[in-house]
Order: sequence, then C-alpha cells, then structure tokens
Amino acid sequence: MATAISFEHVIKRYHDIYAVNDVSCEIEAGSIVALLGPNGAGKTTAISMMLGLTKPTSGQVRAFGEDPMRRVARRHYGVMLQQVGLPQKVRVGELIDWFRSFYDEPIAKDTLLDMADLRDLARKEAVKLSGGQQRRLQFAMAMAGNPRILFLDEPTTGMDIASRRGFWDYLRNFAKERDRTIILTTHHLDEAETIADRVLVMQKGRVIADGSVDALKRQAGNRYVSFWAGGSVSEDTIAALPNVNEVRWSGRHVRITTDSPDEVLRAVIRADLDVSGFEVSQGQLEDAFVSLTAKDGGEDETITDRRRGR
Amino acid sequence: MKAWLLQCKFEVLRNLRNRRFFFVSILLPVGFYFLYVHLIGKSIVIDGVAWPKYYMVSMATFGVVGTGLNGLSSRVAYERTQGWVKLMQTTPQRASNYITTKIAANLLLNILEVAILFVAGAAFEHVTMSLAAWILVAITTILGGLVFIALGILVGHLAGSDASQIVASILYFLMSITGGLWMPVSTMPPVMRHIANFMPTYHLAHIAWSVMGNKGVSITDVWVLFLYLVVFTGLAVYLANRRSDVRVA
Repeated sequence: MATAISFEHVIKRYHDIYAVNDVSCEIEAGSIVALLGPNGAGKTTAISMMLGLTKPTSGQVRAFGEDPMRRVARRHYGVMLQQVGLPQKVRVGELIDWFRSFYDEPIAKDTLLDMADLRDLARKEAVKLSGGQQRRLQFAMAMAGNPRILFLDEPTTGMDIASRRGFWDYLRNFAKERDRTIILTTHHLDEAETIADRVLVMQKGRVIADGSVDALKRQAGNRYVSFWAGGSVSEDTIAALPNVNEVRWSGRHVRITTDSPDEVLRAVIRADLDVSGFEVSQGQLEDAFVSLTAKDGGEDETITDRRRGR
Repeated sequence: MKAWLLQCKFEVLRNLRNRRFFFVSILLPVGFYFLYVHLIGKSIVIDGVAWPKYYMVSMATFGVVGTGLNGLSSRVAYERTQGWVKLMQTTPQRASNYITTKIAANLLLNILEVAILFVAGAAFEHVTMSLAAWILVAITTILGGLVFIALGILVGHLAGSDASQIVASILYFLMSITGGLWMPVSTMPPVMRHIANFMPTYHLAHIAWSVMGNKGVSITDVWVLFLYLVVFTGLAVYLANRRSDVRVA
C-alpha cells in the first residue's frame, strides 16, 4: 500500500506550548482515518500541517511524498474546513465552477451539483443557503478536483440526520470504489465508529492511541457485564465479586466494568445470584475515548485556557 | 490563466451585484456631479479649469476612492476572518491569485466608473478637451486607483469585517473632503490647503486638473502617490504574512 500522508518526528511549537509534540505516523492510501482528541489536543494543528497551512517547527510532513506547503502536493486534495463563511454575492453554480477551475481534471459540474443535491439551487446566492445546504455545497467544492485524499474537519455540523446518513453512505462508497483516503475529525464519535477503519487519538500534542476501533476499545479496557438483579441481590454482594473495577446501578440494572468479563460471569453463576438478562459488551468508542483521554484531563484544560488567553 | 480570469470575472460580478457598490461608486458621484455643477454654476473657473470639467475629475476620483476602500476592505476582512482565505490556501492555485484577481477586478470597475463620469460630463455638461487629454486623464484616474485598492486591502487586514467597513467609510469621506474632491481646495481656508498636500486623493485629482488646465503634470503628485502606494502595499503584505501562520481554529 502506498503512503498518503506521513509524519516524521513532527513538532509544532507556539512559543512555549507544544501543539504537536514529536508525532510520527503514516496514513496508508485507501484508509479512512478519524483523528480524535479533546479540544486543544493538537488535532487541528496536525491537520493544518497536512494541508500546508502551517509549517512544522521541526520534522517533516509529506503528502504523497511532497511537502504540502508546495502547490503540487495539493493537486489531489479535497478539503472541507469547519466554519468557513462562503463569499457573498456568489452563486452556488459559480462557486462550483470556481473550484473546478483549480484542477486539471475536475468532476463535471452537474455531477457535483447532484452529489450535493443542489441542482435546483444552482443559481441561488451561496450564503443564502441553509446551514446544512452550505455544508453540502462545501462538500461538492471539496470534491471538485476528484481528490485522492479528502480532509473533513467536522463535516456534518449543521446537517440533519437524513443528510448526515446520506453523507456517510456516500463517503463509504467513495472510499471503497476508488481507493481514496479520507482523514476526518468529528465530535460525533458514533460517526467515527461506523466509518473509520483507523482511529488516532491525540492528547497534549501526542498520539496516545492508534488502531482500529476494536483495538482502541480493547486498549481502553472498557468491557462490561450487565444484568438485571433480583431483590435479594445487595450492592455489597456485587462489589465483592472478583475483577470488578466499577459498578453502576440504574434501578435494578447493574453494569460492571471489568478487565475480565469471563471471571465475573463465572463468579455470578457459581454464587447462583438471582440475576437475569446477561449482556457482555465492549461499550462504545465514546467510552474508550473518555477513558483514554481522562488520564490527564485536568492539565489539558489549563493548556486550552492558556491558549485562549493569548 | 483560465482560473485566474474566471476568478476575476466573479470578483467583478460580486461588486456589480452589490447594492452598496452601485450606491457608493456610481449613484453618489454621478448625483453629486449634476447637483454641484448646477448649484455652483457652469461659468465658474477653478485654477484655470471650467467647473463642470474640474468637478467631473473630482467625482471620478471620488468614485475610484470609494470602490477601492469600500469594495475591498470589508470583503477582505470577512474572507480573512471567516476561513475563506484559509480554504483557498488548501487548493492548488497560486496563493497570489486571491489578491491579484481582486486588484484586477477593481481596476476594471474603475474603468467603468471613470467612463460613466466622463460620459455624464461630455454628454450632459458639454465638457470638451483634446483626445489626448481625455485619455491621459482617464488612465491617470484609473491607475491612480491602485493607491486606494492597496489601502482597502490594508484596512481589510487591520480589522474585522464590521470594523473595517466603518474605518473604510470614515477614510473614504475624510480623504475625499480634505483632498478637495467635494469642494476645491483653493476655496478652503489655508490650513485645509496644507492638509490637502498630504492627501493622496488631492494629488491624484491634481494630476488630471493640471492636465486640463494645460499646466503640465507636477512630479510631486506622482511621487506622493507612488510613496503612498508603496507604504500601503508594504503594510498590507506585512500584515498578510504575519497572520498566515495561525492555526485553524
């Protein structure tokens, strides 16, 4: 597999703050990578460097072997940034033509309009579109050059549920059919969970977890045994079971966090407790994300605050 | 090149679709022109130039100043602060296209404005001069607009889009009045004449007034304009580069 993006000991420092602190990684062409992390973790800086908007303080960022600060590297880029105000007094169709003009082999205008479901609105002023429509237009603009790599920064903000689902379906096909790379950041971890085949979690400028969604959940160690407890089962009985890390009661529903669900189950059955409806699960990506990033959450907040104060 | 021309076309269209442009750059100068030519009287002569001729250049310059300042400042500020410039930088187009297409579009609009004022003067107020003088005056006013294009871009880099709109409007009126575009400097108190000497507006219009008064162009006018152009451009380039290394919010 060819490498789409590579980071080699990349450091980005703003005064005394390391926004990105010695990150090395490679992103293979054809993969869908979600970049996650709390605010101020450095993911936006990392994306900025991939896009050629920011120069690393030291180290190297490469896109298809080229420096993204150079224009040639960006010929194969499609980019959707968050919170971009579209220019005033320009029509939808014109914006699409505008972006098509940047590339050697652009996708046909009508195809792009259909892709964004905006064919009937091609003559409307772009800034007068609804939030969701503007996002779809920005997606069409990102697709104008038939990119080999798509960067999506919070792409579904402002979209309703139906558009959102359609958007991800489209992206999945895009990535599968054409062997294209997608790098995305999102706050909707369920979205990352369903689409990404690799997740990079950043915190305080470093990559603290890197792997498939399943691998991350395993790394976070969040595995659950849950069941309904009968009236005779006391809190103490449950807490006394082996390998129990944490117990959460919701009425008579019990959820045990454990490193070893097998041992917990065996103990419950051996003790012949009055329980029913067993469920063993690994939890959501969100749970994994929270426990991976919780370790120094407090300190991270201060970094964020200090940056805002600048 | 095709992309550059297309972008230039959109920049022109965006201005023409803007009601503010229509008001500031066309309606206001043309309206003032007819109003003051008739209020002051056609027989008045200022610095050896008949009033309808003199004021035609004043108002053409006034329009050119307005387009550069009003058209560019808030747009540049908006696009710079709202992520548009950043998005443009992620495309494979040349980074300079963003600003060069805006400058080119503004020069085209300057041509349109000067043409409208000249037609108003020639067709309705019987302004006449030699063909060479018409051409020289037109070219000076159009290209002199570069100073105010640079100032508009500079203001757009100094403030956010609302603030830069206000700053641009204030500069637009102040420079126009103190530069003698509304009322001839020679009719103002001495202190105002002194101030006018520092205004690029005054020196730009003064080139055309001198040509029409058969006085020959003063090299001081050219130097002052050139100096302003260099300073405004230098500051704008400095600010644009200083802020290019910011993170995506």
